[in-house]
Amino acid sequence: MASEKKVVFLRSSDGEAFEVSEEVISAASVTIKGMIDEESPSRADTAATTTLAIPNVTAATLSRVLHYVNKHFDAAAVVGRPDDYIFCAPGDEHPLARFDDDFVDVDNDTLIDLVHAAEYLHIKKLFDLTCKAVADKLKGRTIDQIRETFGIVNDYTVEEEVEVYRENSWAF
Amino acid sequence: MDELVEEILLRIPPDDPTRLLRAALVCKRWCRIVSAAGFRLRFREFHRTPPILGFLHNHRLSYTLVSTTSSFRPPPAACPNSYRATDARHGRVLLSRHRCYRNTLAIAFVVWDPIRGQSTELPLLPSSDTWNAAVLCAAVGACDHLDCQHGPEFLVVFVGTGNGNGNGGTFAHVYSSEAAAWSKRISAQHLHEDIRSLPSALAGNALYFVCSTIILKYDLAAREMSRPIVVRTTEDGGLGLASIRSHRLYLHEWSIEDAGWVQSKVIKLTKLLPDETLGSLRLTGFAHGLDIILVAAIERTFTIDLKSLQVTKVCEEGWCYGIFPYMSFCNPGSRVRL
Repeated sequence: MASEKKVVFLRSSDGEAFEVSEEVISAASVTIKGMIDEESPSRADTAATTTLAIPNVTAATLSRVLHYVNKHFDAAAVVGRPDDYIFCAPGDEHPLARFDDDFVDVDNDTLIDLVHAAEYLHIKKLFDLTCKAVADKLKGRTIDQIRETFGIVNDYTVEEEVEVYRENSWAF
Repeated sequence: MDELVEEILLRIPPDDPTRLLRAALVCKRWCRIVSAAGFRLRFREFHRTPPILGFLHNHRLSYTLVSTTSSFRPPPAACPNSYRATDARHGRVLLSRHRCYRNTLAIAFVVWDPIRGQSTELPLLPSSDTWNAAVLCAAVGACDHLDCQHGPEFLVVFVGTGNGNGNGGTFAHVYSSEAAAWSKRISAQHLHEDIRSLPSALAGNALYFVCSTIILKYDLAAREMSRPIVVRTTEDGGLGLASIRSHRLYLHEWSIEDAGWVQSKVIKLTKLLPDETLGSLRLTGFAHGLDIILVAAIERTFTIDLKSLQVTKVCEEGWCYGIFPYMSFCNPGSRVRL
């Protein structure tokens, strides 16, 4: 039963604690698996639950990350609760493709926070997904729009800009 | 932070090269990231197969590069219009034309890198009755060809039959950019084949040229010619053959285990292509590593994706004088010092 499963608590940078299955989070996050492994000698008494501080990730982001982790790494959820996949079209390449698409359909700041969290927690699949989503946001945007999206100031001199255009004449 | 930006830019799809260029123009930091040699290599390793950026399309006396992405518009090669495309591989294009030199007919070759905008003129070769030629990275066998376009060295392999004065036999010359010269004549007197101007295939360490009745193999390591059969490179880099019979496309693959041809697929063309084209279909080429075949009818040329069976019209001209997919990754600004 689920109640027999070991759980850990993750405390976000702003102090909120989230419960997650130890098995699931260990499969997902290399960083947290490392923390749990470090803790384990002192956890001989399995009754004690562990709380791990995740200082770099806010509650808002962490709850999103755990939503993703539970979908992708909880084997019981994947086979045991078919209702969750009601939104999967039959032709979908991967049963979670639709979930992933919706998951990254968020504003820029949220997405960038997820990239940082995925990197810090070392969740490769999530890191790939979120980086790809940011890359996709560049599609169809002008250079100025990209700067605006990412809050970047143009530091090219006119001469330098002309030089880059000249060197890449295949595009103009 | 640079690492994160790099991870994101790495995932930009390579099929529209201006997307990476727009990223480079955002700020100097992004430009440094995308033009670094390490990024270029990672980008190629991440995406593996270079995209088709366009097709080199021969007309009667010259060629055009028909872009398949709106953003790839290289300026023409720095050579006269009368050149025609003879081959394209590993990011380079081989152009050729006949020229009169000291009262004999000679062939002038130019190797063109459309992305760099660089052209190299090769020394003239005496013409022969029938001939074909191929361009390739010089490190064949020791290179994964993901980034070799920016390595300086290339080879051009010329095969010809007959020299117009009664001397028969098939022969080859190999131009090495390192030596900046053609090799001595490599003869195969026992072969006398009419060589067709169809695209050659590179498989393993050998080039294969279509002749009137056979396929000519030029072994790059042994520097010798022989005659097995092939017209295409399969998706996994092996040797493949394609033919059209009775409105069906037959695909064979060379099996090393069986030492023979194995039929890998038969595709009914009646449902894929417009009815009026079926009577006049000819195979005209393939895209290396993508399992894409080019077929031409009288007034149209199509690509057929052998996996998805998706058919795409390439141009309104059919049965042209050779059509070559130009495939390459395309990274901006790699020589800019910032």
